[in-house]
Amino acid sequence: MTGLGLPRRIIKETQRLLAEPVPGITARPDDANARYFHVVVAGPSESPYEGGTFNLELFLPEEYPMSAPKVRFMTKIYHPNIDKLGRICLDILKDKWSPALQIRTVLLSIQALLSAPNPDDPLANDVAEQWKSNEAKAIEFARQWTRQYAMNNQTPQPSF
Amino acid sequence: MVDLARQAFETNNFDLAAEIYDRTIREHGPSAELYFGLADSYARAGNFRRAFDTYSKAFRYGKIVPDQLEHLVTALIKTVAMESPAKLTLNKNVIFTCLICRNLLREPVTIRCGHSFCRNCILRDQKETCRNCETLIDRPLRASQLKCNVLLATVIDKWFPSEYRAARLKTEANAIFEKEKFDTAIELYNEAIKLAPRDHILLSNRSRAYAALNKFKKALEDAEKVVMLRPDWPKGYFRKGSALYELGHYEEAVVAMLQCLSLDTSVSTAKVLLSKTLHKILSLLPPDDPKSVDLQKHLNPSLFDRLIQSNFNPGLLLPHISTATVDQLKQIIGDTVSTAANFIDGPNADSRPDFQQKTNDSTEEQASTSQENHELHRKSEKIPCVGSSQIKESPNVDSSLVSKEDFECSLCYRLLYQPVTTPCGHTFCCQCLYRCLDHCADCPLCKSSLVQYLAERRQTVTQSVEGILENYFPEAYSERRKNHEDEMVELASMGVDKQHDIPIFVCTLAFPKVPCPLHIFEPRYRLMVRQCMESGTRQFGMCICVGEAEEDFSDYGCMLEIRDVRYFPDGRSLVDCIGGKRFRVLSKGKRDGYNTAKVEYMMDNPVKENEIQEMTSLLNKVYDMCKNWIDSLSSSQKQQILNHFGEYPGREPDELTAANGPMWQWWMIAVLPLQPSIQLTLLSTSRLKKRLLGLRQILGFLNSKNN
Repeated sequence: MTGLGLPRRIIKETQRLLAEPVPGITARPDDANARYFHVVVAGPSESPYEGGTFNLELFLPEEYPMSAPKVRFMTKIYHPNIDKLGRICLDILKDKWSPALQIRTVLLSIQALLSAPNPDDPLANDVAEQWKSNEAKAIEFARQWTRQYAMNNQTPQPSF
Repeated sequence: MVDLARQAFETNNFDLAAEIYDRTIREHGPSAELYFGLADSYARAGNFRRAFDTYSKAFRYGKIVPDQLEHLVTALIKTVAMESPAKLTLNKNVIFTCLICRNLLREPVTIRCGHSFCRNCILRDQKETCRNCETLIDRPLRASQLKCNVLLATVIDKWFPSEYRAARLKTEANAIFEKEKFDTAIELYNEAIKLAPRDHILLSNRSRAYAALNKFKKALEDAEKVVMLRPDWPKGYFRKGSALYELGHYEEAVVAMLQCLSLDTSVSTAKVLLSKTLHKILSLLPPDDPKSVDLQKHLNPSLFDRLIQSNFNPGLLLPHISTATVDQLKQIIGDTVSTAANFIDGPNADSRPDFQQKTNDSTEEQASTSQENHELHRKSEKIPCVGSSQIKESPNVDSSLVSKEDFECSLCYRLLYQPVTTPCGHTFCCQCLYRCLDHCADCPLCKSSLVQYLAERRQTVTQSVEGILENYFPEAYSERRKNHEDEMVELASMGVDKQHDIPIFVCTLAFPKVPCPLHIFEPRYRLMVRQCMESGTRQFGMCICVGEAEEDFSDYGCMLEIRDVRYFPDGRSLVDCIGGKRFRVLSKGKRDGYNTAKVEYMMDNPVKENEIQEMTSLLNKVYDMCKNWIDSLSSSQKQQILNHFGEYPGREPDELTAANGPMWQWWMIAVLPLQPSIQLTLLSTSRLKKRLLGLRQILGFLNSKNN
């Protein structure tokens, strides 16, 4: 694990992500920084995010894989576990991180989080409140935000 | 008199016991008890010819049950027991073989020492130590805690599909055997044996099933094959002996039982059967019992003929088990065992000496028996030699099944190097796993707690996995090893020149030759210390933090040499260091999460000729000032300082010329209550005079404050 340059693990992970992408997700390394990934996640079907394409940024810190990748939504999203800065409340990105996890598993978890929001462990308190008090309305908000921010946004750009 | 004899016997004085019994018989006339005592004494003294002679007399004088032959059994076992059969017999350089069942690993479990066994075998085995390396096993093992080595299990199932199917059939057949459906069990064994013809356990189990159906000839055939496949496996001889016993071949049965016991003296079923068989042999002797003679004639005509010819001379009757024969037996077992050592190349029946052939007094009748045995051997030779995979060291495996990817470490994504297996059954490179454990004492894959594993600082390589890597991926593995060694060289060459970074521990200041105990708890520094130890450099640089940011460490520092590392169970450590060379930082870098620096080592400027006198007097003055200051301290303060930094050093002859000046000045700089910035200034100057003047000033200030 010592030595200069990019660890073999990151090179291999990148190669495999490009060779066998996760369905519904594309992740490609930045031309200038191999530790920085441009990620696009398709809103899962049968979720309020269906039809949307969400841009994320994923960064592998120096200590990766000893510490988790840093991931953030760049596209605005109405979700109880994602705040307005795009930060994600996901255990495997925090204390449940394990070096045996990988970029692929992180992205799959994020996809799953979109399918199954967890308002009991909120990051965006107002959204979580809405979700708990009136779920139908919350889902409607989420659909609306998806239409507004996550459609026709093919060129990745910071939304705020 | 009898009491005396017993006493002698109990104190292991068998010759004396025999003498007393013998005299008593001559004086008071024979009795079963006396003959038996005499026979036991002969047996325990190792005089078997006389012992058997006497036992047979005892049998004529009274009724004797098999259990009473315990001394004979004990004595025979003691005579034939191999001194350390395991060492002689086992080819321990195995990859896929369980050294308990000597079969392909099934649900392999890797134990503490890095050796793997079938889960069921290690659970049932009684042995307190590893069969491979004699490391103590924490018995009793709890089934719930024995986790399968996932990698090994997957690879074995993948690489040996036939054996895998055979093993499943075997499990099924064994269960059916327990339900006493022996015919069905045999059918399943047949099917399994077709898939794995050299699986001795299948043959052994089928032998047992045949025996349960009273098909002893068939049982014997299978047992013979077992013995050929695994001449070092005690149970094979037991199966053979059991079948021979049932077939009435008592002498051969005794030999088989003794072969079994010579390999493992603890097989109690074999002991029981041995005394039963000996009892049969001895009971056959009475000439006045026509029924016994008929039985004898029916079962073993050769023996019966010889009985007649020798006029029922029991001495001649038991040539097989005379002392000379026992010696021969040992020889035979020794030979069997040495062929076992070569069994990787396949057993060779012809090279195995046959017991009957070796006996000197072999008669025609005996020849017939041995012919029969040869018949059996010939049959067993017909076992096809395909599928011998599990007994070869590195069997040929269908290359399409062998994939390097299966042996990739899930942490570094490289080929496993020095693979270690956690108690939860997951395998990683040793280095990778320990790096994870620096951060969290859970298994990276399944999150099981590895607190215990970490506390034991277990780093034993999983032998089977390393064996696979070395034998099936020799090039890739040696390349991987080379990578590792290169990394070590890279680490080891730290600081050899201005191009090679040294690791920097950002903490406090250290000074040349001053002891510095450190508590290492941050994950990155645990890694750093491990790398220093593993690469053999045993040193790193220490700087002080001078700003907010991570890399804001001082431009000057001091090397620390590691004298000793003591680990806490949770992976933290106490590192006993002593200061080394001083350095100036040229540039800063990072590696594996900790700071590094390219440095230039520094030393004091030489003292100028014209300054020597002045400097000498300065040295003397400051030394005394320091001494006075120390003496002025309270005894408790003094004790604290001594505990941490050691004694105040004495004067040195080369104080003016040493690279770092006298040791006592550094000791004082470390001990005095100084601000780190002042300490840093003193550390970074290459002028001795400046440091001494500084010290003088500080001491003067401290003294005036005290007064």
